[in-house]
Amino acid sequence: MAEESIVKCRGVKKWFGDFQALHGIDIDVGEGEVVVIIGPSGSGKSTFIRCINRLEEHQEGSIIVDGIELTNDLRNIEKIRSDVGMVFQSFNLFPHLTILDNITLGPIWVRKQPKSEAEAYGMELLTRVGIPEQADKYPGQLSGGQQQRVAIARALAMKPRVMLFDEPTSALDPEMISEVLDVMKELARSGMTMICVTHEMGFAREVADRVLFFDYGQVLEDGTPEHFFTNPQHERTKLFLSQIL
Amino acid sequence: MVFAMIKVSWAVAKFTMVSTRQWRAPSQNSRLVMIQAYPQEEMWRIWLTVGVVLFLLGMSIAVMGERRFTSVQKLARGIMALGGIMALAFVGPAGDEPWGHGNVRFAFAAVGLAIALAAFAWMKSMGEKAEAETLSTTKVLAGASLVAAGLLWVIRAPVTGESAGGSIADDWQPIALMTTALPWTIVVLLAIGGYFLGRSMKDNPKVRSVLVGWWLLSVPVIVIAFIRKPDIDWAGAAVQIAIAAVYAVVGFYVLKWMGSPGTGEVGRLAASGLMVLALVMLFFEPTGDLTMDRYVKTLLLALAIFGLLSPTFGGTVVKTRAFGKNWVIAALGIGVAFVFLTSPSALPGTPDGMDFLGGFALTITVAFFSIILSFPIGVVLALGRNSTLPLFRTISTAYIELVRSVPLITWLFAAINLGDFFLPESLTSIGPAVRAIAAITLFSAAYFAENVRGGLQALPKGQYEAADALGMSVVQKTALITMPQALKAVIPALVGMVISLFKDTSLLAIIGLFDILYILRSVVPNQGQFIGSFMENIIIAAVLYWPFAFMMSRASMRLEEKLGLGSR
Repeated sequence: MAEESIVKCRGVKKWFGDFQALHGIDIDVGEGEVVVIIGPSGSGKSTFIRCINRLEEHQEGSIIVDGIELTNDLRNIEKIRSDVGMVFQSFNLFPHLTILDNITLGPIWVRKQPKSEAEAYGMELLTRVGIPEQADKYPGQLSGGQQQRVAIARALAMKPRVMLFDEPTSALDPEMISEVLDVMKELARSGMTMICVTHEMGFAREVADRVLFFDYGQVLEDGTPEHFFTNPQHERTKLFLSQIL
Repeated sequence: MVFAMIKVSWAVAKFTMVSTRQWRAPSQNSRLVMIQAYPQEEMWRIWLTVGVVLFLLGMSIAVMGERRFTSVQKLARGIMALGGIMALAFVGPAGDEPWGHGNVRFAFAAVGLAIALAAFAWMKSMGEKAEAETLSTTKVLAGASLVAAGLLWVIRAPVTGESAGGSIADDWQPIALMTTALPWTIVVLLAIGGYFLGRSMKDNPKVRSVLVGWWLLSVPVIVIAFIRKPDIDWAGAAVQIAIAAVYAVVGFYVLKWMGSPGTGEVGRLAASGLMVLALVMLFFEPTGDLTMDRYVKTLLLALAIFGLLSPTFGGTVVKTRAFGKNWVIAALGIGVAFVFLTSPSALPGTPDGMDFLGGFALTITVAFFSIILSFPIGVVLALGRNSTLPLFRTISTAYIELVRSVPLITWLFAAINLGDFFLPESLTSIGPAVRAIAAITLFSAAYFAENVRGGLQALPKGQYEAADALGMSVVQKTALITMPQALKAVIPALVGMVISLFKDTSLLAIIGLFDILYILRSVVPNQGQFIGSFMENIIIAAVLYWPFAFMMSRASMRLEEKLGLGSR
């Protein structure tokens, strides 16, 4: 397990001022594994996932992604970020660029791919997420669900080793959630390593290899979905599940 | 409301038509007002400049602008209104004619009435179709300018008799034969030609980059043709170009090495080292030939800037080569620019060759250079103030706060009077016009910076995070994500700045430069035949300023609409 793990966290601690958000997280995520992180709001799950590509800085412990340790060295950070795709709750597409330009921006400028190659792959990805006909539109002209699918395609265009999803469906209307989840399920089946923070229990049950339960900046539960939903160990988990199910 | 309008038009008519108004004061002095003392035999330079600008403008309108249409009905109504206003000359208060010829006023009014009636008849003859039938507005504009240029050949106007005790026109001639109709006609035809050339090229995907290139190229052409008449020392020029060529070749290989992926961080380090070297060199006392010294250092600095950018824009072999090619072009361009700028100007005036400029030409030149120079400085200052590095932040903040807190007029005086104490010996010969440009540029850069910073701060945090998450470098993030959005958000504020900068050039009068306002307010009313013609001149100044400011504001509206597509 340890040799194959692509994300390795040891004793990750983080403070926001006096408030300690993460109390020592130890997690290994293996190649091709789909990990779903569940927890009440304020439990530190988003903070943790944002630490993995240094959108937040952890103060103690170590995070090693694809064999590179995250330090203050800008080169390492840029390298890791280009190998780790991230999908945000609020899409964060670039509103001044067309859909296709949004997707090819990273490959062309960071990966230094030729434009034609990047555009061909971008169209392929757009087809994969089901909206090739929107390539020349601007993000503002798309629905929320379509925007989030573009955001997934944008992250995939970098050919990442790991995909991070930070509550990708929380800002969407109910009928748009399923179209995004379908793309994520297809992605999971294709063997992509994924770490998802989500409130979609159905998704967790269906595709996750592991479910982590976060509270108070700690991992309280770590096991298969079956184990998590039917036989939770921790009192806090039972309470949480009884409230949402 | 109607009453107020009648009242105002009556007052206008009364003001304009009274015999004591000397409308000939500004019209007789039109050359003085426009270009002051530009040498007569070099006039073609001005026409070349106007022609180039209008040609490119016509082309840009064709390529960039959406085609707009107006209905026949609207157009006819507009013409009727124009004719009606002309016909108002009838109802003006009685009295001696300000033009000195009684029949002019009635002829004018009759023509106005005829135009109005013709437009009315046209509209009626179209009947129901008048509302539906449309014409392209650009075509209408082109037609109108053609008519205006044509009229110059037809209309006869009095030629000044400079007789003692007043100016009675004796001889009537077509305006065309008097002065500027021929060049004006050519220039209007050029603009229209540019428009149709643009139309025919519109579908060519490369036309936009070609157009931008031509605009950029027009700046040195204007400088060389209009502001200076370089007297080139060809032997020296050959040496300078040779040096540029050496820089181009050596730089090409250096950049190729720095930009290739294999070099990695060593390249970035080397580029930083080069930058430090170039900056340190600037502070060394010049040895030997002053011009050559400055030349070599400028090229080194340019190479250092290219070097810092090479990891960002290089990468694959193709891209590194393209980047290197850009450097070769830039190096040779700097070489040619230096040759032209360091040769003495054969036009009269101080060595910088701008002191013969005056009138509206001075106003436009100062505004033009101040705007295009202050913009990039403002962007850099805004980035500095937003930077996480305390050194940049402190310098930018200090600069902005210092410059903004002192009135522009003070900076202008400082540039004229105190400049010599701060400038190196070799630069004290710079004339007041260039100093004024420098002062206005540095002043408005601070305001630009604050506007741009506002745009940067309005950006949602998610945009920065999304760019970060793709692994983009700081330069890429700024150039591709944050700056384009920030600039788009502040277009209205920026255009407001540009318009006020254009009008603020009237402060040049106070530091003793003969800008348009100074000539109209102080020079013309002191001429023997036009003593005390203040009000007419001031009004003419307003009439001349207005279309430029109005055009800028319309252009910004168009730009906003065009860019609105990508808005959130």
